[in-house]
Amino acid sequence: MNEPNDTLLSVERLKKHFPIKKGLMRRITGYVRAVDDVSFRIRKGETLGLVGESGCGKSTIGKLVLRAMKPTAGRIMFHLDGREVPVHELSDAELRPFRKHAQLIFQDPYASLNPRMTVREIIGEPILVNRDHDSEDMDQRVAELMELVGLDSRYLKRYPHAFSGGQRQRIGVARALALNPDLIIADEPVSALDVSIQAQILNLLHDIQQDLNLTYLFISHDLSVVEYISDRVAVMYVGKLVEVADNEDIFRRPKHPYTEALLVAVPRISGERKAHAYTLSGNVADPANPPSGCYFHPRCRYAKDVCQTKSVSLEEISPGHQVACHLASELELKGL
Amino acid sequence: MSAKPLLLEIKNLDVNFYLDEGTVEAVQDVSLDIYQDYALGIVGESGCGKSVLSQAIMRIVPRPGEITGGELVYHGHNSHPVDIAKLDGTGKAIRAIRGNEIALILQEPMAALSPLYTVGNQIRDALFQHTSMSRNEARDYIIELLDQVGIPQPETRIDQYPFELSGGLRQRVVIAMAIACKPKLLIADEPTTALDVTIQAQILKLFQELKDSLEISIIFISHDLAVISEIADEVAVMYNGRVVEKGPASKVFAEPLHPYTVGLLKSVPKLGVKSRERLTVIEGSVPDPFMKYKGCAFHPRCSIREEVCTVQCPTLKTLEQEREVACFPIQGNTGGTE
Repeated sequence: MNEPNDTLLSVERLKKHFPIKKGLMRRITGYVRAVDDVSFRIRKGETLGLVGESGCGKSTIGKLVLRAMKPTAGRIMFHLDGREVPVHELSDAELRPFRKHAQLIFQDPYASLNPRMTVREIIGEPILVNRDHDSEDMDQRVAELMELVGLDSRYLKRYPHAFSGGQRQRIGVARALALNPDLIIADEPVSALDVSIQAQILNLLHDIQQDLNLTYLFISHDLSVVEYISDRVAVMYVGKLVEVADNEDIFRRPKHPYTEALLVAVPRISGERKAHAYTLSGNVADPANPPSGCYFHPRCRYAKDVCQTKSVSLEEISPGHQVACHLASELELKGL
Repeated sequence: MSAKPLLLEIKNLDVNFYLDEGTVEAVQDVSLDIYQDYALGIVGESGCGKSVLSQAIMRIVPRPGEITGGELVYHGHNSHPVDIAKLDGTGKAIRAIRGNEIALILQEPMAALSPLYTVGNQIRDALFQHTSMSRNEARDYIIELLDQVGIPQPETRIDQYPFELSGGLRQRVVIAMAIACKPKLLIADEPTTALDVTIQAQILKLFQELKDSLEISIIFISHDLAVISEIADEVAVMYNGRVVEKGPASKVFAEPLHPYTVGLLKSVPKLGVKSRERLTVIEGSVPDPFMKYKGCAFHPRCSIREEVCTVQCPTLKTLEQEREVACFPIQGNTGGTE
């Protein structure tokens, strides 16, 4: 792809297979291929949107990148001031300094904040754990972070229950920013919020990215949100990436039938009611028992014989536009 | 709108919850007309009272909540109108309507289905409650129903348990159960929120087909403006227990009047309208249910508020054709009438 010097994170042939255990002896009877041979890069300062339906493995990718779980195979390289950190093989002791550089924002601000800790303790915890500041300027640092995310620093000593959903998510953002990370993995950060509050958090993420030069891996099932926030987008289906391209290309000139189907499926606000000209039939394939060939072929309206038998992998069809589809070059797909 | 006969009139409905921490006025002075063969969409954020409204129509408002005022005049039952709000909540009369003539579909299909009974047995319970079908008749009819809601191989699915079905199929089972007794009114409370987009599109299409083929009326409740715009003929926007704007869906979405509706529509990122500009936001947060707002509940977040908004609460007034809005500055500007 591009020259790798502006790359912050590169993921190569990443796999995570969960064993399925059955019976008294807990024998392994199969594997759920949650993430199956996934490769992508994120450049410094950009936002990569990762979309897909539930169970497609998008959150697992986020967890693997942070090494919240160990990959089955593959490489995760983190590029830091000219050196390369092989995240996939770090020991527990080596992980702690790495985690300063990559932080997570969670989906549910009601579940991700400890109700028995004050805001000061929640936002200060990563600083304390990493001994980043001594306790005197900790208050100051926490206050600074609160101001940064649009919270009143007078509320330092309050508990999460005193805050609304949107404010709680701001606390979650402040905690993620506490160690000045380079990469933020935001896993459905606005899905649990009310519509009018979503916009506030999206604006906040947008503003702090500009101010702090952050890089985002933005995981979401909501295509309108992904279109708004992302520079590039990766579409995932049953553990595999099926299309990776610039925002504009994904939404205007999709090359994978699944991307096209997702775009059609999104309800849109319009004066006129849209006739559902085409809805994708069937369900998402079972990652423990995926279909032969291209995993999408049973639901694909363009599928040909080759799709049933021959598996596909991502290929670059134009600069920066990768697709995993046998028919990518012949299909005329419709974007927005 | 008025060409179709009335099915349900909601008149000045109030629902209060009496809690230790204070009284929550979950639904305040809500009036809505539901016509036959017609879809009303209700939009609002969490805590705006949209779900309590549907519970009130079903008379299943959980304690300590109760209907404290207003009427729910139902015209579909026999020939004479019934005020559902006045019925005994557990009596014979409401049980003849609930589940039979008015059915409810909830967001989370797994919560609506018992994990211990097969799909067929659960639907059969509803049928036995309201009809005098025999077991064999019921089985044939249920298979037909499952087929109608788009479940493949209904003959085998009927004997399966809910855990054996995917989320989309479960929601179809819940819909089959809801339409089993051929209700006149279907209340769908966030029926697609727990589903993936492609499955959501399938379910929305199913609702559209059911509405056309069964001539059923639908109250469709959602926080998702786009979903409502796909399905509803008329839309009512709720804020802090009140309807703040009401009108034909196409007009409300194309040209919203109430500053809250305007703000909501502006704050959602729209697919295909890509810009990296900041989104327009509604400042502040969703109102606190325990808080008593003086004047219009939206005024602390409103950009066009006037003096009067902070002291007096506006009521819905008709502006132009079929458009109603509860907002003093807007009503004043266009010279609305009562």
